[in-house]
Amino acid sequence: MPDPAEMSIDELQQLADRAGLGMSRQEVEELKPIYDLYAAYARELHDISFGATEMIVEYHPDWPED
Amino acid sequence: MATTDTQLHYLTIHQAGELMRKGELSPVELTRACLDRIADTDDRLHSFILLLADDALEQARVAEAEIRRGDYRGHMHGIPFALKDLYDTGGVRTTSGSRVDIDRVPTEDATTTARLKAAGGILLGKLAMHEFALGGPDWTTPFEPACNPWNLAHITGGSSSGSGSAVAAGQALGALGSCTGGSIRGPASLCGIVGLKPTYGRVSRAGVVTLSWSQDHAGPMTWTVEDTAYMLQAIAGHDPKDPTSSRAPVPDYSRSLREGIRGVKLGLPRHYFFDPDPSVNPEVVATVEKAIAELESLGAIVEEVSLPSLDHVRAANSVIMVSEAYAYHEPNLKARPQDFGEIVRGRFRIGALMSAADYLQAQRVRTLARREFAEVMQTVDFLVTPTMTQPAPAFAGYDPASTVRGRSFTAPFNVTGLPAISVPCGFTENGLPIGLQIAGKPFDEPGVIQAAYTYQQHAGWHKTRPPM
Repeated sequence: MPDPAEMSIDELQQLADRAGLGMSRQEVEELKPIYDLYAAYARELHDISFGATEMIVEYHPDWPED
Repeated sequence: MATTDTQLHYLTIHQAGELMRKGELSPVELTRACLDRIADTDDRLHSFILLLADDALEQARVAEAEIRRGDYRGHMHGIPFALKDLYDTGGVRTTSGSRVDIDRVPTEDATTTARLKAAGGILLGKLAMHEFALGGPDWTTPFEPACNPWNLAHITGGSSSGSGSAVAAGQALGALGSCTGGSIRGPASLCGIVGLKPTYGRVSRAGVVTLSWSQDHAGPMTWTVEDTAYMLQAIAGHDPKDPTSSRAPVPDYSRSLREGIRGVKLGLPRHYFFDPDPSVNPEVVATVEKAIAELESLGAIVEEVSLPSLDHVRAANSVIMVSEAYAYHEPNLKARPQDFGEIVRGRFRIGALMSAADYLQAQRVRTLARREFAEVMQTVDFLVTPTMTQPAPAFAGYDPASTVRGRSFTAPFNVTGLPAISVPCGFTENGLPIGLQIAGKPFDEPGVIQAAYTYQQHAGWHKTRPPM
């Protein structure tokens, strides 16, 4: 049973077209199973409750040098 | 399995260096031994994309003359090594395992390439890899996938696939891999060698083809932990060409090797790495549990720790990886998609389909994980875990999507940037290697190396070589 949150092939085709990927229908169909895995990860990230602490994006490429 | 003997190609960097320093081994002799080993085995292993035999012998002659006249430069002098084919080599083709870059010849060496050469290392050639450091074995790319020396019907893991097979089979005494979600520790674990992902910023990424800027790491893959210390020594340190390079001082990585681990506190995040999960092989977990008990017998103190963000780190690593990869590869993906292999073309395209909000949520998880890990690492010295969820899968029936599904034991340390090493800790019943992962505090590579060395010397798995 497909996850109701999953995109249809038509919707995925529209998304790929909007991104300018120039993908054929067959390519979109082949991509869909692996796309669904990543889309599930993305949904998971949006479902996280970060709690009271403000969890801003504060990525620093280096560790503090103390 | 073959027990390590005195064949030259099976010398460690440490052993070969000692012999060379004393004038009992010539770099030319050792380089020839490696080239012979490659000639004998690479039709089955496919470790090398490009062999630089003539250049290597010329470099070896120069090293021999230097050592003979007393200009010995240290542990890497005269040592034959090889590079994953995404490390730039000036004047030498660097393909990243892709048809996209099949004719790409960089004008200069990556900083790491240059540093190994400056240390006297002998570059044997460029190694197989998963295309652009992602995906899995892909027969739609121009190069044969590397095979696992412990069982040729099994994959090496990746993406530093040729680095794993070459070092395990004695084709090279050391190699460099690169790692965005586990591409150094993964093949190290699956090929029964040592692989270190240093702290983010410790080793320059300049001249290493990008997969995901904020998660890419460069690091050594060797037969022993001691050799990893020597290779890291040669490549670590600030590089103005890499804007994310750290200015933290570079310590002597082999100085504290023999200090043991008595009283050292090991954190065990059991809830993610050891509790039953469909994506995790119980034989792997049982073997690593045994290794941890051995560390305890050597004087370490084991404590359970909790890191709830681990449940989401795989998602963050994956979304950041494909988003950043798409940003880097977009021009080629749009202009010449047919030149990418099927696996990577699909994965990179997914990066175009992630939203800005997806990427930002992933970065917020990263912030959360870094805070959580920093807090836990105030109470323990290291985290100990299995390196991989599974032993090396067979080529037959291999599903590339398996690199996306389920738990990842390596990705948490790419997301947090912490140093992590994989050291062999046993074999499955079918003779496939299993790795123990030890992760430390930022820039505590000396500690991580010391703990892994203590275990390796005690356990002795490095005394057994693959049966080929």
